[in-house]
Amino acid sequence: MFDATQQSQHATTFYRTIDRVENFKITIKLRKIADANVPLNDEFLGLDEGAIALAKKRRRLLLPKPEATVISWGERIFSPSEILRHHNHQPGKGSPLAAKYHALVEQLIAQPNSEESRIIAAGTTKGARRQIFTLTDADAYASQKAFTTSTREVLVPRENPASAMRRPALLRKRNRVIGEEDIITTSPVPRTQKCGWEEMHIMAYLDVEQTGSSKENVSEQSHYDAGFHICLCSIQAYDSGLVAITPGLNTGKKPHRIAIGQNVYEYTLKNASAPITEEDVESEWSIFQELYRQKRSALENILTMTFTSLPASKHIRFHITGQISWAERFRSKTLYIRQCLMVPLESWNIDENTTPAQAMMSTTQVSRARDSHGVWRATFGFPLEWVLLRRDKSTERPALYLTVCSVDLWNRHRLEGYGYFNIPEEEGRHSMTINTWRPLGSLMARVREYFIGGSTELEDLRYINMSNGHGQKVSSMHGLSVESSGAIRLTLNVVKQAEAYQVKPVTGKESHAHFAKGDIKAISDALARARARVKALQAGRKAE
Amino acid sequence: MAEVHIVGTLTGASDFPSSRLSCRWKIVAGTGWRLLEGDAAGVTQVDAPEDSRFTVWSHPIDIHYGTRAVTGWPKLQVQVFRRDWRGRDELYGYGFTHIPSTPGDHTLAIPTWRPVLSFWDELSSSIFGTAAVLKNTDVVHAPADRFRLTTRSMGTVHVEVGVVLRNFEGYGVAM
Repeated sequence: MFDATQQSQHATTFYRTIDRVENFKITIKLRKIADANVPLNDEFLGLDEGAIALAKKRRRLLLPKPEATVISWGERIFSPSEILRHHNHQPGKGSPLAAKYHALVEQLIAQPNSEESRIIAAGTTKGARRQIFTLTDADAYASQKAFTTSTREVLVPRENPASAMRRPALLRKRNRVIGEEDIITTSPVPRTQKCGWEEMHIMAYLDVEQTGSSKENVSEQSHYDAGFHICLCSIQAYDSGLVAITPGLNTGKKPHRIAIGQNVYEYTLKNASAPITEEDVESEWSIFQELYRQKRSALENILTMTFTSLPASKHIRFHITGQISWAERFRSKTLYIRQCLMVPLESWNIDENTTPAQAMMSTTQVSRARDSHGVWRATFGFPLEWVLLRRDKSTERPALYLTVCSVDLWNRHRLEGYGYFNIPEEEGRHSMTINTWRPLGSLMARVREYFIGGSTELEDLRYINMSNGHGQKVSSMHGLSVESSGAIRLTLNVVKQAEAYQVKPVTGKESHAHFAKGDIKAISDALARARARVKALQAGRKAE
Repeated sequence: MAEVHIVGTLTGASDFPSSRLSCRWKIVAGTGWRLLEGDAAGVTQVDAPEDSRFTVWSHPIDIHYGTRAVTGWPKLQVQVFRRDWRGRDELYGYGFTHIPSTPGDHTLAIPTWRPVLSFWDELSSSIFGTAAVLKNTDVVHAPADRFRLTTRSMGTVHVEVGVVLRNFEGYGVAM
């Protein structure tokens, strides 16, 4: 359930869970290992095993019992000082949260032999046996330093004796940090906008003898706070399943350690969540499968089974889509293109049933060319869309005739070039460049063209594509003088629909049903048939 | 009913007079087509590239169509806008391309153009930043006559698109 993605002894560690965070449980064990009577230093003095064992035993006797608690996510445990404070809360005053806590604490006190009732009876937090408590999101606890390095300073890592010996000065410095940091504010603190994450803190109320200036800082606020409040662990759970625990869960034997003066505490954090069971895994998977199944069925309900019906047998329907992209290298810079699709009606049809009113002839806009990398290019982006039907296997193909014209400043139109291409037979995407030419008239005609306008044009466009259009045996354009002109860029997508292309869905039931059933007889029969075929083939080859 | 997945990227634009551009795109399909998943329209960010030769958008396109016909094959229509120094968006180009019908990855270049007006209108539009736009942008992709419209050639919009088809072979369609 929990997976550490990053391991570190004292910094924030990130875990990832796919379970809900409500199922998260953490075990915390807090143990005092040294105070003024039992200094920490003697831990390292005895070097032989017997002495260490003796020191450990003495330590166990002198120091209070270790405390272990299992805390589940969002659980609120009150500290001794909080119990006193909430017990003395006057109803009708303060926030609704305070009233709620008051009710909760009263409930706990009502239980005989509870820790709470003992504290109330004592009337003081001194000598309270329970030290660990929690703060949840609802509490206005702002551990601003939770993300900063000071958290790390509170936690004294257990290091080798040599460096520990050199650290009294450091420890003194840290004491100050502890005293200043952990103050539970009763006034609302401006909290950071929490969106998509929740937080809880595992705290310890440590009832230790205080010395020096730090006491004034802490107990100024309330006489209930006789000891220290220390944040042992902060847990942030994000909606994404990320759980950040500061400091991380203990993996090895090294516990986390905190020091207040000569009082040193050790604590370990362990994941106590129930491991995911087989049934849980199965039920989660079944939920996912159900989701995908329902999505699929919803999609199938939307999708109807109808489709454009197939053309009659041996007919092929051509869906042609594309565009005239641009024209370049023409002598004029203001161009337009007229195109005309000529369909040989002996063997082709314009499919008016599926798409009525198809434009067989159209004119593009007048496009002004632009210099693009040294070439004058006029863009058109003019769509071409046809649906045609081929009735038989003739080689004749529809041809698109393109006439490029120009307009000048005086609104004179002039022919710039002729071009054509045959609609490709192959399905797929075709990009082509069509080079054009224009008829060159006599000298007189050219002079007239220059001054007055007008140009030499073909009478019949089909002459461009004469070999196809006229069915002559020899294609001859002898006698026609032309001048080559610019080029046109075209893109076409061809999609064909015919019975021949239909792939009948091969259902496994028909062909391999006996394999699925495990019908031995059918399988052996099939094997015998295959063997017989192989033999026949071999015999045939030998005969050859 | 056959299905078409269109997954791709609106990569960017090149060859425009200015490179501070954004793009408004939409995918237009015929009547027999039904959008099952994904957004069929979008607007890219305004990119002001360091290298003015290529404006980068890297805008994702991910659409799932169900269709009853091959006719009305989806088309990608783009409108390029230029952001001027006052923060105004001015139309810089219209363009379209048919989504390729062949399955696989395709790199497409969409040529663009913008409408032009008379000389005086052009002058005022350059001063006030009010470029002429089409009243009905269907003209961009509809196969209809466009005479009386004068346009100016603009740059190229680059698109990379992957096409995944399903069930077409059952209806005898060869792509």
